[in-house]
Amino acid sequence: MKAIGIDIGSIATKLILLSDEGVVYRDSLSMPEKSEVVATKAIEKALKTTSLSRDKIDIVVATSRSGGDVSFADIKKGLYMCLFKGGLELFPDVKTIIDVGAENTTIITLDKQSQIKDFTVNDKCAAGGGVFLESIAKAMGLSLEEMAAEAMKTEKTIDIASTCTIFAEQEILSYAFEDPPPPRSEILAGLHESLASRVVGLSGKVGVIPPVLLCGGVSLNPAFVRSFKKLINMQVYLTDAPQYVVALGAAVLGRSHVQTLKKKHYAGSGN
Amino acid sequence: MPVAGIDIGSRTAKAVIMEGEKIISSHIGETILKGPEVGIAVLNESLKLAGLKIYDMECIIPTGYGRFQFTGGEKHISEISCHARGIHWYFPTVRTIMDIGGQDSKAIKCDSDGRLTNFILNSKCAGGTGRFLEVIADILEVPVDKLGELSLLSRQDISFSTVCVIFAKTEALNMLRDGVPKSDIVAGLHDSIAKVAASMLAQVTVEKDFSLTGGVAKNSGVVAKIKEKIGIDPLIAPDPQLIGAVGAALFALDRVRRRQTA
Repeated sequence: MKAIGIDIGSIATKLILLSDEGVVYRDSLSMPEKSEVVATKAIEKALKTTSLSRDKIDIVVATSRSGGDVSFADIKKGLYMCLFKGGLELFPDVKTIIDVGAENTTIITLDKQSQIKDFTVNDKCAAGGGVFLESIAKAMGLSLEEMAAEAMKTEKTIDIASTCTIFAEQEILSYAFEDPPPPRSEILAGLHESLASRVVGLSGKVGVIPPVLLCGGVSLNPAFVRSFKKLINMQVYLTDAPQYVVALGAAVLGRSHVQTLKKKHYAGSGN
Repeated sequence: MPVAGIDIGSRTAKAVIMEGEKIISSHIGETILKGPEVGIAVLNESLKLAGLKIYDMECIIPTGYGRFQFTGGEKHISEISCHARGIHWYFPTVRTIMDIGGQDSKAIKCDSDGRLTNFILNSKCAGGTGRFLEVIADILEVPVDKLGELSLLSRQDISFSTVCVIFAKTEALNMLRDGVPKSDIVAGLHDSIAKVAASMLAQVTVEKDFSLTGGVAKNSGVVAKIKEKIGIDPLIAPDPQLIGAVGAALFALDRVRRRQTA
């Protein structure tokens, strides 16, 4: 069995190739093209790298945040289902999944039977997504890694009053006019904390149940994770490829689909 | 004796010099280039234009969110009062004002004397402010002052899914990629700003006459969309971006007159 899961995010397109042995290939592409073009390229690249032909792939499952065309896929699944299945595949006892992506934070809580209990997403304002950190890094002429490293140098944080990314950008730059200007590390630590507090605040809307899985590309950021752990104050699972959880879930859904079809097929041939 | 009003906003600072009830000169400068000194810089420019010196000024009143950084004034007055005062001077019949500035927007109500009776402001989110226009204009590589004209060429209605500037940026990029004409994107952007304005106006209830102030009121596309949404033709002053500074200068004039009669 081989299933491909594709997650068309707001910035990057992520691909997971799942076989009976587990994940055999993963890749992330971001290019200024239409989502279906990027996804098609990602599939071609995956087949080339793993020396597989398209007919060896049982199923391609796609999920898209932008509602773009996914006609290249065999089936389409919603983001929540994919995130839910991906999180559960990694940590079978997880009760809250928090995915902090480039533009959105998505949160799912699970009940005792590990079914979806509640969910929420911030999709009105960018202040709860990674783009909040990215815009400010750009304004300060730093990379995200440099910004996080600088923030990790201190335990102190300066409160960032603005929620709006556009305003926060200016607020941070305006600290340079202060005499003397506050240490840059404390401003940056405050910045990561401000994003973490909005994510934790959003999770309060659905009621967080431990253990919590923190995933999405932003959870690769150590300064964000530090603040998140401090503010949520409960057991947090992290994973080594957090940006692929949704794509993994899509592939897992594909796997189940193929297994169901096979069962039906055998049941059918038995008659 | 001449007086000055200085409106130090988030993106631009404006100075107006008045003598009697006449505007004799004005100047607009960008805040970001001059930092805290911008107030005095724009005042000096307008003094130069009027052929006056700072000691010729009988009274100077600063307003706007940067007014506390300006030390040479007699009194600080909020820009909300100044907008009401300034518009009342141009159009005494106006009771509702929508001020859309560089980084915030305000819906203002005033009485028949131009006195403030109610207002609400949006200062948490850059959506629906001038910054929204600037950011998207930058992506589209269109000068901000050409947006109005360009939007008139729009043939198709487009709407942005949120008012968040950051999200709109991604959406606009995707639209460009999909070959959507810039004129349609800009018209959609204007529609978003008008939606925010209309919802703020609904909160204070619109009463005739209605005026639009602030730099965004120079954009004919936004003006048309707001008119469409609230169903009232707005009265627009000769330079709507100067209204706050004009109001401050009028308050300065009041003080001078009170001193003369006392």
